[in-house]
Amino acid sequence: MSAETGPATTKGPDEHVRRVRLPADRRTPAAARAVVRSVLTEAHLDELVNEALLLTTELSTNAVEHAGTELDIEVSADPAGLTVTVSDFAAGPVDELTVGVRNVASDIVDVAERGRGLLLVDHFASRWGTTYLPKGKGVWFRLDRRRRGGQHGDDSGSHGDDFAPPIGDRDSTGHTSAASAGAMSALLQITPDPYAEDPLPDFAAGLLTRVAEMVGAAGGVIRLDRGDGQGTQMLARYGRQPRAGNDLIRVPLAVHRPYAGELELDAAPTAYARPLAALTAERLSLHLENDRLRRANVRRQAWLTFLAEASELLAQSLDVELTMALIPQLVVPRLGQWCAVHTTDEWGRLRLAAASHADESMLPQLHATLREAGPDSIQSRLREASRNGTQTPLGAPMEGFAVPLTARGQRLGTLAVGRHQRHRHDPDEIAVLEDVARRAALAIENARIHAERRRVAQALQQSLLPPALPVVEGIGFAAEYVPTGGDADVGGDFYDVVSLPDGRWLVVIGDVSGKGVQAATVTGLVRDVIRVLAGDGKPLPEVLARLNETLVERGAGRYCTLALAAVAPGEGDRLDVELHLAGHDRPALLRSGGGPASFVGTGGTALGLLDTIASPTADIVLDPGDCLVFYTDGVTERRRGRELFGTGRLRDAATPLAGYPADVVAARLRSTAINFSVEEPRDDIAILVLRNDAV
Amino acid sequence: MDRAELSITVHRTGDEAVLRLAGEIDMLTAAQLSTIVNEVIAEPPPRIVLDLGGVTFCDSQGLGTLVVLSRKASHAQSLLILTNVGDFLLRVLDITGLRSALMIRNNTPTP
Repeated sequence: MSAETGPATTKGPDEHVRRVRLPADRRTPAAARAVVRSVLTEAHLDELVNEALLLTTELSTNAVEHAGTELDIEVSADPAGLTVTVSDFAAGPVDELTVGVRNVASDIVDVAERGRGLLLVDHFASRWGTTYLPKGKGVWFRLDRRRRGGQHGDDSGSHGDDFAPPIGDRDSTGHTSAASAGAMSALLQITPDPYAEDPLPDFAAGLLTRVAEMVGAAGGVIRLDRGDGQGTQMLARYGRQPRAGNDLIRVPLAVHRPYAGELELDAAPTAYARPLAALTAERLSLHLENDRLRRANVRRQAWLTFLAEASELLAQSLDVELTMALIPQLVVPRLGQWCAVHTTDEWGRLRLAAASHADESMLPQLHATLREAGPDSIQSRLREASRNGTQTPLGAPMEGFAVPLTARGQRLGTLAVGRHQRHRHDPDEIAVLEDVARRAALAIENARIHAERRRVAQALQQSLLPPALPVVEGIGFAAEYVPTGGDADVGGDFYDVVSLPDGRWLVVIGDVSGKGVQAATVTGLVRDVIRVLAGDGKPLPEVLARLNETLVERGAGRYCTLALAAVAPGEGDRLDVELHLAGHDRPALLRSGGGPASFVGTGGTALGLLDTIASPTADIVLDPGDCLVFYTDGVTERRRGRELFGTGRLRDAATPLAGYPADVVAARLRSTAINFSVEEPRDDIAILVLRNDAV
Repeated sequence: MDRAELSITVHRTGDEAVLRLAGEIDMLTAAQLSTIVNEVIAEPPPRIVLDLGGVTFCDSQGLGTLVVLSRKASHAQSLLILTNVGDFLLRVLDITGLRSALMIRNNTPTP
């Protein structure tokens, strides 16, 4: 009956080892008992016979019933006691063996017989445990001869030479001193699977099994709290539950916050058991640290992506209200249960700008809580956060914290975030929130600056246009102006009507290249130079020439197109118009008698480009009811997709307006140009109509 | 002796049946015990006495069988009594908590 599997056992003079392979048969427990009985007799351990036979029967019955494979029974006796290992060849965890082991005496009748068997093993054995073999698994128990009284045989600390159970293919049948070298290297060689999704549980279980086998522990657990709100979890378990009251070896795992954990072995802290456990804990800690850093890294990457997306969203919004509304949507529910954004007005008072709650039905309550006043109210805490410029915790019932919104040293308001029900904000989340607050504050500030700039631009533009056109007997003036939509840039279009010293009226319409405040200053320059020179009574060609010089000199590279028309009553009811076009679009002449509109005038040179300019004059006579329509390229270059409004459409639109008053013509042309496309005007639009109003 | 053997002799008297058991009770022989006791319960006497004096071994399956039989007997208006239960077996019954589920009369001399 010598061994077929595993190495030969070293047989000392006092050791008796027997190993048999038996079929999965109902007679097998009896056969196993016979083997055990004979070994006990040989080893003079008859005092253990009752327990040994019972436990052997229980284990082999289990194996026959549940594994259904052949089984190996190994019995080894030494002067101190007996060890029996029953191994089968079925794959699968021994894990379930531990189920039902706890002694619940009250309803023991209902415990499955299998559980009852293990209960007996657990009770009588000095130690017991499980082993994994290459081809199956085994359960072993140890009965020690010397007892310390009481019916419980567990007394692992009472004998000097601790015993390791025989493990399949390891040379560790007898004393641990022989086993330790090989087992020690096995302990050091076991490594996590580098390709596994989460290799830690397997790795921890492997380490625990090895170390438990080496120190002969009946059980052991590794507990780990990842600090992720799930509390302490069991990472690995071996054998039976460590029992309170037994000698236990406990080693804390050397891991950094928020991780915490310990290794616990149900074994006596003998000379080498504790260092071995410490060594195991150290190895495990190293990999746990690795795991912690890896997870932290993954989380941080996710946060980085989140921040990048948030920044992009915030940067796209140049509207203050929209930015405010966007912030809670970004924060909830990812960073908190609820979120409220308050802005500071010019007197430092906080005003709720936007709020959001993960649970919509809670929103009214959130608003109510935010409205509360008092020393402990959220409002007062928010004021504190804003005043001190520091992160401030918020107490119940709306637990969370507030961070100030500051950009470029300015206090803009606060961002309050409620904690999630299940866990507090961890340091990473707080850092992310502060980052969100910074970015949100910048976005709000940018939107504010943008709005301010827009207001400035519009005010500037308005100042460049005459508040009202003069009312002149017999001459009708009408103007329409549409600024560019959307952005804050001022266009360079302008118009003016100035009275000349010789009694004539000068109609001016022009377009300075470029946009924005710089273009507007040039527009102002052009307007004023014309007013001064024309008011001095200079002839128009000279006005244009002087303006050209000024622009070349002072226009900062900008140029200007201009239409000047000096109007005076002529013969009869007619109006005489002296028209100068400096690179400007030719005005449309609309005869009251009907007929298609025509474009009149001779194109000259735009101003500000060349040292000398050509400024041809065109004389036009307007009969009563006739109109001269001036416009800027905002009209003709109005876009619909890739199509331009163009002069053809302008003429077609103007033709039916013959005979109408100047303001009607201007208004109709404006709406026709605007309605041409759904897009916002890309360039500003100016239309100025001059009409012979003589009756 | 590699096989578990169990021999059972049945003596029926007026109001009780005495079954003398000798040998081992485990997964192999528990069925045999079950069969014979069930036959007795088919015509139940007021008392069924199991004399375990000759039992050299009994595992948890054997105990489970005894509990099941005891319940069956009481359903049949009969009383299953164990006598001459060995010390170790008593200990096992205590550990498993099954002692209370069985009626044990150890010091009563069997008729």
